[in-house]
Amino acid sequence: MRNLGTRLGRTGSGPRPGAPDAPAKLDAPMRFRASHIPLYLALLLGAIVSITPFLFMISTSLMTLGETINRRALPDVPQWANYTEAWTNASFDLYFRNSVILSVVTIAGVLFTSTLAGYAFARIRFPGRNVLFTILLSTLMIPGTVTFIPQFLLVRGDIIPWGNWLDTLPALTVPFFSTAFIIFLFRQFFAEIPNELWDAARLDGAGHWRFLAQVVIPMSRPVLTTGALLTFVNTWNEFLWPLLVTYTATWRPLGVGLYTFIQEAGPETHLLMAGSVITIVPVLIVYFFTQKQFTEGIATSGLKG
Amino acid sequence: MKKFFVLLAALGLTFGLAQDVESLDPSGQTVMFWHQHSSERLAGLEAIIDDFNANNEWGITVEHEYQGGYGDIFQKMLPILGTSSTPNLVVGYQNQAATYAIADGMVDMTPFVDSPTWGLTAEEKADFFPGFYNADIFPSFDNQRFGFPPNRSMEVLYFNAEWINELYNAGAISFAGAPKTPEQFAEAACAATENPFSKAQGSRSLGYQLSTDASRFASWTFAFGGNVYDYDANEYSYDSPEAIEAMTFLQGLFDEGCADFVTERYGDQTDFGAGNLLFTVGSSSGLPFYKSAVDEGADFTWGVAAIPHTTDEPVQNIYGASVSIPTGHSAEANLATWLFIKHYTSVASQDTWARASNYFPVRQSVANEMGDYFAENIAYQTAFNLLPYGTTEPPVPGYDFVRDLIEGEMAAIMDGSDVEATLALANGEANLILDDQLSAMQ
Amino acid sequence: MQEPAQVLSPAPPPRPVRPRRRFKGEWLTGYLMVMPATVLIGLFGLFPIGYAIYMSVHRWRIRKGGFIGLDNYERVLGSWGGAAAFFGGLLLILVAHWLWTTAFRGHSDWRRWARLAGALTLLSAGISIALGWGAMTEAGEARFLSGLIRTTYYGFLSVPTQIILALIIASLLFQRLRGSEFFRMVYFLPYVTPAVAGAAVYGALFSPRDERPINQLLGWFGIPPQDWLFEPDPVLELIINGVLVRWANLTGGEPIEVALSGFWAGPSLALITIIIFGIWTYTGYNAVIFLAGLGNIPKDLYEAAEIDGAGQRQRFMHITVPLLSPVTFYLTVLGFIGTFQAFTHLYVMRVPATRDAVDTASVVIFDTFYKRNDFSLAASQSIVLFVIILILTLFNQRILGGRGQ
Repeated sequence: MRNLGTRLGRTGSGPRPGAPDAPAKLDAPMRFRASHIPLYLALLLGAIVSITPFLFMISTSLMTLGETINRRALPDVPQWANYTEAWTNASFDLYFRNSVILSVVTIAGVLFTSTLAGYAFARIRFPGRNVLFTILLSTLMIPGTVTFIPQFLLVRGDIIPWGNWLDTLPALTVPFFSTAFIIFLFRQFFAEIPNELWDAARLDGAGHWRFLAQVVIPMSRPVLTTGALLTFVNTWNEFLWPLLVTYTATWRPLGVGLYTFIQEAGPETHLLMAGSVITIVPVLIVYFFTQKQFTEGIATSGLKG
Repeated sequence: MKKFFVLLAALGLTFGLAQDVESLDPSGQTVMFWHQHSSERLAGLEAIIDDFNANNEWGITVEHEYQGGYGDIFQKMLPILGTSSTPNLVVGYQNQAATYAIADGMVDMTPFVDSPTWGLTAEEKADFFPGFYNADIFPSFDNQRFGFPPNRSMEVLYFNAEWINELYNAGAISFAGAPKTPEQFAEAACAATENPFSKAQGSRSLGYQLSTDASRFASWTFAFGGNVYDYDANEYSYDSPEAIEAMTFLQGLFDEGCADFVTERYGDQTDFGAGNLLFTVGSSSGLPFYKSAVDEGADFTWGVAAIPHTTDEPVQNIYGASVSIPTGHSAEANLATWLFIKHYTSVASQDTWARASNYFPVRQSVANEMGDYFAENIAYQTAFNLLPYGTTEPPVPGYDFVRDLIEGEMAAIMDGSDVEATLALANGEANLILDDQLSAMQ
Repeated sequence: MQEPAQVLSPAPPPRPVRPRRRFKGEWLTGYLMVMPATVLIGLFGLFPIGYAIYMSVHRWRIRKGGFIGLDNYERVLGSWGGAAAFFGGLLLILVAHWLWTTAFRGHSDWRRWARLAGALTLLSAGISIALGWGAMTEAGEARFLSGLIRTTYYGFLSVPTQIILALIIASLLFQRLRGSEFFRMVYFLPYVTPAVAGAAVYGALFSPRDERPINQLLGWFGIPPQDWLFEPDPVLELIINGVLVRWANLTGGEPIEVALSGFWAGPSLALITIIIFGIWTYTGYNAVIFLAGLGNIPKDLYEAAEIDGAGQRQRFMHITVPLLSPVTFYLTVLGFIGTFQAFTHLYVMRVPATRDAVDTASVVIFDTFYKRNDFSLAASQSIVLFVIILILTLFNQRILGGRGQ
């Protein structure tokens, strides 16, 4: 199959004369200028608000039980052992593995279904499109409290005879393979792709499938990454549904481990905080390595947005 | 007509079960136990289960799984009640068991408990604290037994003994030691607010911190000789004269500035530990946490005592989750489950369990085994000795909802609402909720 | 993967293919593409809604009982007439909007009259809503209906704040400033923090004790310590009284004390504290989506504008804001859907003393379900909330989302 990109390149008007070379500008941060000071101050203020609770969390995670009970601001001697204790108490080695698998499987499912649906809702006119979209969106509008029982009956195989999924991987992933959130997000972005590209692709004999695969997906990296990241965070932190549809620890994720620290046994705040830090850090690492995607932007070739 | 046959069949089943219990064979059964225990408690439970699995004569295997907190287990049970997806044994509070029972989700354990072959002897039954033993018999369900107690906790008064002594020696109060009556409690609470403790680490000084909790409401009402539930009429009695008296007493403490709300999670523990708070009332399961708070805080002599009472003998609020057998399993499996419960509540297991969990054992003779533990944990022993004076909160469906209601009203009263009017209104609402719940049983 | 579209449209067509044939092919492709998502959402999203409706018209405690029709809805809404007036009033707002903006566009003479009619419709919508609500609250389920008011506060205070803050943060982060990677991580942190841990920390920060951080901060500005989560009084009342006390101190007079109540008194301080927790959590999430949106804006637009002499502020207002409007639309719609059924943040933060001041409709539904064990009543409450969110989403689509459709 011929690559559409080469053809598309010709349809654009090329870089504007006189405009600085965009990619070069992207890679190097701007040199510091005096005019940046207000920007930094604003960023700093927001950062303090964002990070203070987290610093509190780290500080508490290093305290003894007594220090947390007495609400000290800082531990006398950092109790690094809290982390190992939290790790073993909450069976984090198993849960960590589970969380990784659940996240990868769910992300794959979400990206597959949402890219297709988001594209169709954004760019293909078919009868009932808007009605169908609104109906799908409406599934977000009902509180989870009353939907839990029917969903449970579904994964147990009571409604559709596909067997009992309880305590298996599908019960924890399949219900999340498609959410209106992500479809909506993708639709919003795919709708913004210039029509000129589609016209050019059609001229080249491409249909929707090929246009989607060769043009839309490559140029939608920011939003695809966003969709994957948000799915990742949700799967990673989920605890209620996994707790309700598993009977054993086999597939339980990190969130459930964290949960063991907030039981009636008493205020084991230091372990809860250590466990929380353990669950947060991997997400931050993933975010750090993907954040470039968000800000990279469309490779510009004079196409209007 | 159809209804009649159903009834007949149900009767026959119950009767038949009661008859056949003796000839059942529990051999080779596997029992699944759902619970909410983690860390030290889990280790203690595992030891008890391992002991049973290794030594029981019928080859019964008990398996167990952590299923989240009480609320999660409740949520999980609701869609599977009456089916074979339920575990053989599940942890739950009395009001939760009552809710399961509405959907015929609970097995009546009476035939097992009373069975000459499998049950408990008269002496064994008498060894249980009577209040504990009877707490799982449900008056609103024809006195069926839907649970059995493996442990209990109790609401106790925590007091700073050193500070009380200081107050007594300075002539600020007229008695020494723990307050016995509400008057003494108020006297000391107000004196403490005026006269800070010598070792206090903070600047504020206060007599009592109240957490707005329906169990606190019940504890104080019990101590004033009343109850929050009228077991003869089968309805709530939150507006009984004793309840009004108890709440008026607490409101008075708030008005005089000798008491305030607990405003942070476990904030009363902290202030108590720092020597800023003379009294708190809370669950005995908090004992180890109070110990840490005091040890790491102002480091003073402290103790636990009965809630100051107007009655001759103390009346103590006892609570705790029991274990129940859900329906959906064979009679043999249910019998095997009962045999594990019997093991779980045996004297030896109770000794292990009480040490691991900081709960109280449910049998009086366990005290003989726990001498060394008592010696190390004086406060635990003091509280243990109060167990015979226990009474309980009502085991009725919908109690969680009523608790929320009462807690809101309790806060309003301490903020100055009229006690009698507020409680009359609240009680009316609570009884409506109860009627609504009980109507679901028909 | 199959490519039916390609098969059906022979390449290269110099002009559009015959409409009929192409459309059929497109339809098929469209249906095929939305099928996996539709099947999954149909099963795990739509079926439960149908099931909830089914539950709501039966007696249903722990187990199903007989058919009871719309009894539960009557219990919740109080009066059919009131409910009709209330929901009709909401829909009238849409009609008013249509009359104001769209009707008779291009007929300048009629347009004026259409606008007048629109204004009158809006007025009658307001009256209808107010009267309908009054009738509902007289006989309806007080807990749930007052929960709806708090839900309204929660949504309408949270969503605009989150979106404005997120837009500012995202555009700052998008600048290629030194250290922006670090800042991006920091701003994302709240969203990935488990709610239970966040709630524990917030409980300590916003403690009523005067030595705790937030009260100390207020102290620096001369504001007395507040009770935060334990304060059931409306925040407006607290501010007015605070100012009056100041004034009295300055003038040496006796302070007057005001007490506000009713819908316009606004949310309690306790609810505001929880709203702050929600904003803290979700602003970073919104910023990430805005960042993706910024990433999609072609760079050369800015460059062209810069060459044309547009300042930073102009570029923001004339390029960034309009081009991000699909993203803003997305965030507004989902923000309202999310906040109108927000649960976790409220549930982990609420305390008995202020339950009546913070319990939103979704919390009431949870209690009806799991504490009152009345599944069918909870289901009908859910359906009522569902309808309200649906109408709100229609508002968003019609009023804000010209580009969304």
